[in-house]
Amino acid sequence: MAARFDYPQAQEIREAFARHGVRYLFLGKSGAILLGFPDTTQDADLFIEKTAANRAVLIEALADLGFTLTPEQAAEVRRGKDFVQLKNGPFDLDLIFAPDGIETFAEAWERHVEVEGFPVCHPDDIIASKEAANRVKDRESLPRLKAFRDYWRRERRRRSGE
Amino acid sequence: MNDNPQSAIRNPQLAEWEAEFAAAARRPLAVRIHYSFIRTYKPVLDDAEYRSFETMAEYREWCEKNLPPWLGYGRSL
Repeated sequence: MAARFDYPQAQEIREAFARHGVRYLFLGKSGAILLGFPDTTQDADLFIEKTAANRAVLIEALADLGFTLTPEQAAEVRRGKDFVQLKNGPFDLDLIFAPDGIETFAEAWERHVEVEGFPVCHPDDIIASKEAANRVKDRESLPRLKAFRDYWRRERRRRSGE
Repeated sequence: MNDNPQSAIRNPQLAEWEAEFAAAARRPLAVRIHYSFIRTYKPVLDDAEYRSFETMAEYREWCEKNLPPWLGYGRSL
């Protein structure tokens, strides 16, 4: 079993992806946690821009991070699958190229939030993707996540007005 | 949407959550990450080192068919 995801692993993603110029956003509960949502999750969900150039640099960044993709797996990522789940590296990573509930990467990027250099989906997009996925675990977490979104917005307005 | 802080006073559940949000906001990001990412074994899901799906719909269908319902990855229990 891979190691637990922790702050150093988040930093490694940020640094490796920046080195290779990967366009990505933290999504899902892992994104919400970066924004300040107090909850638990098991892996990092990354929304990756689905362009050929971005997929190519993603493979290089993943190798830097210690993910050992076989030539066939790398070819699949390069070809552009919508969802790739990696448990063959130093930590677990979900790569999402077409999340439910979000039209395009460009739109999500327009709205995104930077948290200490980590690019994170706006809470509205995190909620939209969970609503569209509509899994049991999403439905359970949505009321509290929506309350967090409202709190986060209020605090953001308060801080910008200070 | 609830943007009214007064409603927290009227809704005890919301007040409790907002107290948790405020406490989390006081913690550094590294601490928040440290205590939020956990590691437990998830049957079936954790039994392969690599999976890929052409579409999210295909992934959702795979979850429905293959994962124990109690993991919560399906649309119903």
